[in-house]
Amino acid sequence: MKKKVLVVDDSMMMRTMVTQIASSDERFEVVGDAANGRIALEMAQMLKPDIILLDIEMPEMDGIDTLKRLMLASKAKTIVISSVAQAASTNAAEARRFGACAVIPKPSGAFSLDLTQKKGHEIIQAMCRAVGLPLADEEDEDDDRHAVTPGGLGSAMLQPAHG
Amino acid sequence: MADFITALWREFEVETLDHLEAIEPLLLAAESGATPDAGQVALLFRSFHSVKGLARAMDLRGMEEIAHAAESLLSPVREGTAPLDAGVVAVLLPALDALKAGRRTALNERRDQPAPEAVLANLKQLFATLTGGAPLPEMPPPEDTKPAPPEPAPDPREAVREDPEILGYFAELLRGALPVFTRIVTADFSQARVQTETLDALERIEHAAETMGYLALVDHMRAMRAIVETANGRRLFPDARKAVLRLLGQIGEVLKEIDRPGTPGCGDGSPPAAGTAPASDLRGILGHAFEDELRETYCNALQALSLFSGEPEGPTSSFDNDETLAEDLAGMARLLYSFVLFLNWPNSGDVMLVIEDIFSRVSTREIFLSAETLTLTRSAFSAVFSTVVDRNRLPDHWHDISPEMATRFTQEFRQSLLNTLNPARASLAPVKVGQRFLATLEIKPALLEMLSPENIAYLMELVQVGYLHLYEVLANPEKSPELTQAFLAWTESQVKPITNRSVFIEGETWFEFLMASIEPPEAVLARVAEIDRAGSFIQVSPCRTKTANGAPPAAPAPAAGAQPRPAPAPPVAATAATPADTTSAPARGEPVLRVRGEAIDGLLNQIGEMISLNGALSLSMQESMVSSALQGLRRGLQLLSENGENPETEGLIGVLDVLRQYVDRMRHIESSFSAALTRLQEGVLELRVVPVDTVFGRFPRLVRDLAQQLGKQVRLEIDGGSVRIDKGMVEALADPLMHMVRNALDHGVEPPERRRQDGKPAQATLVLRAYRKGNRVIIEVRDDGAGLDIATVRRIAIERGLIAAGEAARLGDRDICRFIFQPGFSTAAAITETSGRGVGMDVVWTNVNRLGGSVDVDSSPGKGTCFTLSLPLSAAIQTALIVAADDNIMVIPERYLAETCQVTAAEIQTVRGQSAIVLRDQFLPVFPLTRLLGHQGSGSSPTRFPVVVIENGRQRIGLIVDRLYRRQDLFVKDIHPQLAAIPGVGGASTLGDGRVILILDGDDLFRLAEASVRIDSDGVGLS
Repeated sequence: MKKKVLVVDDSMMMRTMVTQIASSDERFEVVGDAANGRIALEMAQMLKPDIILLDIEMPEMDGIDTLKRLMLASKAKTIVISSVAQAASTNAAEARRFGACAVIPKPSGAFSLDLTQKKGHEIIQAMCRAVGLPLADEEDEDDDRHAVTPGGLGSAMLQPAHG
Repeated sequence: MADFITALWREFEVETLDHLEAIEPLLLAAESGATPDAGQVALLFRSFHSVKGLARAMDLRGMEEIAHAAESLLSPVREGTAPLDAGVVAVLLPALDALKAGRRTALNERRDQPAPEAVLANLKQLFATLTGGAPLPEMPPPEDTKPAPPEPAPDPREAVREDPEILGYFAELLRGALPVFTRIVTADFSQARVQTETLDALERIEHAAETMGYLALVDHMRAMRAIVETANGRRLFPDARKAVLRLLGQIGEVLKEIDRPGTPGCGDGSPPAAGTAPASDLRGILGHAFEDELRETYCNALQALSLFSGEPEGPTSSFDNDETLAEDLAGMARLLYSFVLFLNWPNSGDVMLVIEDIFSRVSTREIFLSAETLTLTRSAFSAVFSTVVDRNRLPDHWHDISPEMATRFTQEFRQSLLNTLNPARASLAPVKVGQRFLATLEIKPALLEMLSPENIAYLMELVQVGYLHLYEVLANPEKSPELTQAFLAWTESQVKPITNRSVFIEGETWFEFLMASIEPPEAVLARVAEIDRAGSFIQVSPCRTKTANGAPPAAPAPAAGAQPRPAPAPPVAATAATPADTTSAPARGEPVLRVRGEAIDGLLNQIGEMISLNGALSLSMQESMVSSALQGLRRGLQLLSENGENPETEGLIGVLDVLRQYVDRMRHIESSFSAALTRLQEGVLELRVVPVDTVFGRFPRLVRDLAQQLGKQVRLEIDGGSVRIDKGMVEALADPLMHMVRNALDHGVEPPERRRQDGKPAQATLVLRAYRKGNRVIIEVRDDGAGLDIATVRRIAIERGLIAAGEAARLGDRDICRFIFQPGFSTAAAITETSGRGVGMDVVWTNVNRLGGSVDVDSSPGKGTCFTLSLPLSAAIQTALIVAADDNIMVIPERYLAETCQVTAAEIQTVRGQSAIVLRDQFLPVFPLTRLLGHQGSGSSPTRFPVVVIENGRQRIGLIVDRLYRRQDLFVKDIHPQLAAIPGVGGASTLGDGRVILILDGDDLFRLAEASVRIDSDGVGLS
């Protein structure tokens, strides 16, 4: 059975992107996305995801607050995806303290790079670690063939703008 | 995949705009000296932060770098160590501009634009100044780094115990679980859903307790789950219920432990975290939340107690209607028990358990309720809840009863039960209950007399196991051996005979039985029909419940065991907001959907089609010949019948009436449909509206920059920004408003010295104001500047031949002001960068008119100028008059319509080659519409024709048409450019039959009319 994933970010674009990344590995299935912590909590109880990908900076209920509640209300493994300035310091430590299994920076490079294979790599790895699945393609990380994988975004991203 | 990329870019476009637009007003407010509150600073920070994340996602390093620096700069501000003052704003505004520029480049060319060095340098420098020389925090590298091997996670339990907030959430969870605990005891698990939900809830609490490290609680939850899992499809066995009640008691104990200050957890023996005191107000939180619920349950219980009726003769006699009530009371006692557990009241808990036990046993007729027990229950309740009923008393001051009191009550209850349970009574008890049960049914007295105490005891046993239906059966089974066989088999399977007697009927011996069965009457009767096909040897009649005494035919009490009554409704889960959350946004609970504008436009388009179709429908209903045809037929038939020619004509008249009714009904439906459609359309138009602020929002910066540039001091006031207007209107409004604001700053507002000389404050005020007036939106642009130079306007109007000198002298100031809307009109002494190019106000006029709006101006010298725009709520739907000219159907927008009139050929005069009519003592130039549009007229010259008079605020002309149809709401569609290029055509719409009709543009018509006749300063002209 696929591992169920819930994506939480106030930006719809980020949700779209993270969803794409998370579902690029067939062992995961994104079952829902939420725009803030409050909705995330409700969805976590309803959908019982295995993994929650959580943003920190959100209006309404921020990531840390959400984490505090999630650790009581859900059994999901939570991975914080954040690019707060001091990601390495205070916030990350705080997130780890309140049960996040990993804190990783937001994905970059949808503009020109191979999103799911290269850019989303870290997210997928963190997800695998969180639920104890074997790591995805660790050994052929430098393999060029990813750039032409049908699911890859490499060439599509480089297409010129339409007008 | 390309779709996905496109979608990302679209989201990027929308979201970055949202964030960037949020930033500017905050910065401007801060610059003007207002101290932003924490919420505003947080919003500012988050906006830059979000832009950074979005830019990073699209690999836009330039934008990411600026947003990162700006975000970092705001960090000390957010932490309160630096002010958000003019100095910070002066650096952030260029950063904002750079982000906007980067965004434009990214969207237009899909490429990164490097961050401007100067902007970055300023940000870095100021950051260093604010933080005492610290460099900017580093940005994460563009490529994902290989993730560092994860460090072992710290034990979350340490964190949770130190965090009072989390303890609060835990209390919240437990509070929410209260109804679940109660339900476990009372619920009927025959619905799988109830069981699943309960198990889910228990598992949730178990998980939370585990996270918190409350291991004893975890064990209790596991035990409870195990019990509920055994419930499969039933209520819990009494033993299981008792176990659950015991567990609840232990949970109360655990909660008491948790509640004890300085005790971080229990069950795992870990030492308390140093220097922390877990929230000791857990009980307070819980108590406060169900204060009212507790009072309500208590009142219900008291009320139920008062419902026991009948005349108990002595201290040990019983009541009439005890069983069902007793079960209710047992449920309430359980509920009250869980309440007192959560209040940590062990003594009261003991008493509640005793009461629960007594009433459970009463409800199963194990014991009887005596007047003595009842009185005792009442006093126990009031002792336990004496502090609770007092509404002036806060839960903090509620308290448990003393252990001595609890012991006293327990003993007294025990004594009262002993009195009830005297052995003689106990053995007779089932019989007495059975008699009372039978008394509720309609049974032949002769049969009742036959019942021995043993029979009754047997019956009650049967009832206990589900034989709830009683039947009187009259049978003569000895008619044939087969019948006898079948009858005997029946009495051993489907029914159980309780007693019987013999009856003589017509010389034969029949047997009359009282039988009990599990099966309802339908099943029993069906079976009997199989045995006795002729229906002549067995008669069955179900014993019905008596209703004579007026009491509701309650289900027979003994049924309680086998046919559970619905469990008492669980108390409503407390879903109060977290006390910790005080910064709730107003949008909470109102989910916002982001819908593409095109989707709504598409929907509106469809509705437009429907409106057009509906128009065709109304038309055909109104103009239909059916009515007159029917009337004609009816007259003919009447004539025939009067002449007595055909006897059937009477009948045919009836048929005609049916048809007429049908037509009437169709008309009625048509009008209801119209109304519904209008409401639908209004609903969808609502979806298209956005706050005027989306337009107004760009002005604070514009006014600020312009004023600096012009060396003027201007304060901008915005009012009514939340008024909503059509989305289409927003885009079209931006330009006209821009012109008016620039005009006001450039020409209206005087330099500060000049204002001081005039005795005005040096700082001028510019007001943008929006409000609704009926179904229009009014927007005002008002300044307190010098006002229009009316003398100059008058002079230029005359110079340009827009008006005759004599006429100009007669016109009032306000009318003169309106000349500034004339094409090419400009009063500017110098052509400046901002306005005065001579394309100012006429552009405003044209744009606003295109939207179906109007614009007016009012000005007083020295006091200021006010432009007023009046706009329809929607740009998409226009009311128009449908006309026909030379077989072409066209529509004239209503906003140009002045009036219509009928004119005869003889009334047309020719003044200097121009056709005109006299309308109310004034010459009105008239033009055949087709010829105005450049078509060749058909040449037909009717003697009488309609004229449509149109005006644009300055001119009036008449249009000669062939026919006037009706007014109708039309949905204006975008039209093909080639069609739009036709002079006089402004848009298109469709009629119900799919025909495209052209919407005429009033201004074009005036221009065409002007072109066809040169206006002459003292002639007829287009006055």
